[in-house]
Amino acid sequence: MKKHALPHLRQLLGYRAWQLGVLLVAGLVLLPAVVPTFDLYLVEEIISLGLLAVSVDLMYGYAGLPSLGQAAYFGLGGYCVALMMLKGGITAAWIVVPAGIASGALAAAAFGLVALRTRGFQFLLVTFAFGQLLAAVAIRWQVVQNFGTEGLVGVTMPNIGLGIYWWGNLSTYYGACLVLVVSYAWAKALAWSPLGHLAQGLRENEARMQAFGYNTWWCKYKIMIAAGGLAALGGELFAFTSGAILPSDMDYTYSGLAFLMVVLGGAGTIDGALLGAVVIILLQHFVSLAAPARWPLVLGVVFLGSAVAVRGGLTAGIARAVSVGGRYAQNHGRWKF
Amino acid sequence: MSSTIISGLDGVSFGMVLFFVAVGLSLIMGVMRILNLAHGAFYMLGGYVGWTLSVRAGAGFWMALLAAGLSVALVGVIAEKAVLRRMRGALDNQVLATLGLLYIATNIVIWLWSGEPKAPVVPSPLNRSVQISGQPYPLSRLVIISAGVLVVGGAWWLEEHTIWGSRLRAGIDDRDIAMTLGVNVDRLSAVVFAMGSFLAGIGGMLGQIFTGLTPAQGTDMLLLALIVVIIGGVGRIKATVAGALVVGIVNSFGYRLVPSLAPYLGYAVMIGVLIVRPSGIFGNVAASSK
Amino acid sequence: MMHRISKHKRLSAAIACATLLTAGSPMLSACASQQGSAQQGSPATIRIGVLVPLTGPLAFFGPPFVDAIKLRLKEAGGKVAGHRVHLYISDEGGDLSTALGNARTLVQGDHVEIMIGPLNAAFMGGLMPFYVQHRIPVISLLNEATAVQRSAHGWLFTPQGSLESVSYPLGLYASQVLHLRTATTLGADFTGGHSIIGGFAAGFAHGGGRVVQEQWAPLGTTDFSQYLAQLANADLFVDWNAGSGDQALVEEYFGRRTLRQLAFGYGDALSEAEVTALGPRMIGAIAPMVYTWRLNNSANHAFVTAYRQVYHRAPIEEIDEGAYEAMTVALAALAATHGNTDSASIRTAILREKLNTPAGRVTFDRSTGFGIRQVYILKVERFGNQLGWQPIAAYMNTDPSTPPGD
Repeated sequence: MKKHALPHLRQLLGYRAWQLGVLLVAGLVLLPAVVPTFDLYLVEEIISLGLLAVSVDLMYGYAGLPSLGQAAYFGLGGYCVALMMLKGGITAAWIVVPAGIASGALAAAAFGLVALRTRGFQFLLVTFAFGQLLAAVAIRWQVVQNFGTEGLVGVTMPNIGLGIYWWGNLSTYYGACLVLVVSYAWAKALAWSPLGHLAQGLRENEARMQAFGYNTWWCKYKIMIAAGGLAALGGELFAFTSGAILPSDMDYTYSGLAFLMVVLGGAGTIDGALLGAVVIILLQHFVSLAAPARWPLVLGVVFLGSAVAVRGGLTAGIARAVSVGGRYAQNHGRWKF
Repeated sequence: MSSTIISGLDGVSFGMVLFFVAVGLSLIMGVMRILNLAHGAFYMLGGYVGWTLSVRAGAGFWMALLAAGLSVALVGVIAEKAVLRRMRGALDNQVLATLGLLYIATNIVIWLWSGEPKAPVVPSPLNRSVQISGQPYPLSRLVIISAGVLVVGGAWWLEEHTIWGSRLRAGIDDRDIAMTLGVNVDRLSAVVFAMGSFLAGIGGMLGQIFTGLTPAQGTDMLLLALIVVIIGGVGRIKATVAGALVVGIVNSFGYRLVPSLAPYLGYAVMIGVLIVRPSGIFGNVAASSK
Repeated sequence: MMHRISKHKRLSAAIACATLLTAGSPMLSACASQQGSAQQGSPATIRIGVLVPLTGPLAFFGPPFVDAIKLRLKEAGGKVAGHRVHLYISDEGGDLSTALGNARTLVQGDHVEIMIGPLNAAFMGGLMPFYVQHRIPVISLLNEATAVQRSAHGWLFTPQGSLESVSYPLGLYASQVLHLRTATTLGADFTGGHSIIGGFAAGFAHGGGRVVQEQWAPLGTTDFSQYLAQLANADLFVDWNAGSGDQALVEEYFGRRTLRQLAFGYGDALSEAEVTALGPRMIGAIAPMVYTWRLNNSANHAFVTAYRQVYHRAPIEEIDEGAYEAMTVALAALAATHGNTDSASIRTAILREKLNTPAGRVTFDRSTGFGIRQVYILKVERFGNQLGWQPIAAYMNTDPSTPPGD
């Protein structure tokens, strides 16, 4: 992939990246002060789908496995949580949340045994098929339905048992932000770990990594399990904050959207996936209010335009813009530091 | 026995329509290494354009059929030259661009033709039944089978018995070496793209006879075409034919034999093929891995 | 390849990014609050939210729905009980998160007081807890999921009743009037399809008939040949696959073995234009429907005339009349409460309504919020060189578990 020839935002900022991170977290914390409370739901949706996008990035941007079926694990996480809380009567967060993550990880472990026999296009197609199959089962299987209609409705935030019995808009929002920060840190840690570097290496040239003696299949498998668990966490959050999980949450609709978020933002950088999620969800929301019947057309044009015009996604574009801007300023003597 | 024949004819006729859609997808993947997720939209556009010409402009069915194919081929050529050509090798950009095209095409169809499903247009000579082992059977399906067989035969002959076909196969098997041998793979790709889109457009107008027209077809036919390509393999005509027939026949016989499992049979076959032979029944191993 | 970038440039980059992001959030809030401030001028304005499919698989229902609502409001002069009424129209889209996001914007951003829609029952299930939490009475059309209606504790009103109650009379008519003894069904394999076929089957059994075969086709089926090839020998074929495209199915059906009588689980399967396109073979097919523009009552005459004048067409889609009714329900309730939008008053007012709609008389069931009204059995007949649905019988819609009154 050519993207490593392009300046990376983090390389530009160096160790000051963590300062930027602190600013962003502060922004998130202070957001409710400037934004009406109901719009916070948008941020929660961005976080849920953003986690799905990060899982796609781990698969594709890091390990080179193009997955068009990560939403299967997203949906599984949501269904697991919804089933436990609505039909099983279990509402304790410390049981429900890890169970959801585990459901995604286990499904990925099982499916990975089949899927990793393929690569490239074939991998894309088989992962897509898996998502479709799960959605098809969910539509018909009465066990995963309530109120006689497809999907499970009535999911609420789980009980975290610290005397907080009621989740209002604000506490739900901060809960989602906490999940985001923790997941982001975990994903970054994974990306910077030896496993993450091995994944990037085998994405570039698997034969060479094998020649060095690494077990590349095992690396891909572990990434797949990790990505499955992360996607499931996103699905849980989605179920908690939107109150329902539907069969269509498992099919190509969200898988494709997540893939688009990753590509738009820049694959191979966890930040790109989240940035892509922000852009696409906000675009979808505001365009759908302004042009209710035509917003898919606008979205399609944006995708087409970005594919043609932007190399490496938005993060690379921003990094280029910042780098060019800074060089211009220095050369023209406007700012002397 | 008669019900077996009927199911067989149903499966083969559906398989033929699937072939029309999937052949373009498969060849484009093979020659250009591009995954065109907008290919189902070509089927849909062909159907709607043909329908409009037939119903609103009063054109004859066969004229409308040809016009449908040509107009979709035009759209395909423009898409290829303007957009897809520069995305060789970049899977992420391909997905982004072709999904964008799919979104745009679906919304334009809703805009221009409203989202309501349209009644099929059947040419009057075909709008009758023939007796097949004592039961009436739609003649149009038999004609679709014949048309499919003709096109498959023609494509096969082109691929196996012409110089152009050997260049095509060379370009699919190893693009770089083919180029050193003087094959203009870019021009070949453009022609393949145009032909693939043309066939998808024709397929749309033929298929609407029994699938009707809805704006969801851009996505629905894409899903089916992807299943065909997974099962059959990428890059060879016989691979696409095999995949299409398997899907069509599993569809019709599967429902007869195990009705409750029928919706999952297609996926089961697909996963089975992937376990046993990941590049598809007749897949070209070189072409299918990137 | 990477040049060493001076830390001054890095610092300026960080500042630039942070400024951009924090500057962005006020813009977000400005955009959002703009919708809410649209009608702040007049304190007495009543805000009604309309959530309809403008994109997604049901997209073709959206625009006619909106047209009908606007017509009804225009007929009322844009006001009720002296208050201006403002409509907030938004897209329910093809997935729950679009519907939910836009519903939240309507309820919490635009502060709507009554909601009309969504049409998709799966979304209705996901949205009702939200609506109930924010105390918004909701009016929609037919409800495919009786359980959702019952669980909505009196906040959801569906003037057209439940799907089972509408197809039940078809079963009665086929068995008691046409004296058909056996039936085979082909329904769409989701809650709505099961409700419609289930209602028919109950009515048919009540009249002494027997369903000998039930087939189910997944949503989005493109090829129905395998179902038609297996059609059992019965007097009656009942089909309902609206959304997958009944036209193609019917075309195929006529190419194969046809049964004595063709019926549709609900009349929305084929519009009059589609029936005409399918040709004279359709004559004699029957379907139940809550409305047809050929009904002979004064309210309907006025309604059809208004439609021809304003939209230059007849209100041939049942969605036209359904949306008109939904708006009528809302306006009648507001008139009864003299413009008071307190949700308890509105809900009580709706339950007390006795409406004369173009489809006939409509009242509400106190315990469920379903509409009580007549269901018409329609038959395809020739009108000049067109075909259309002619009402030939009428039944009261009732819960299939209780015996019907005719």
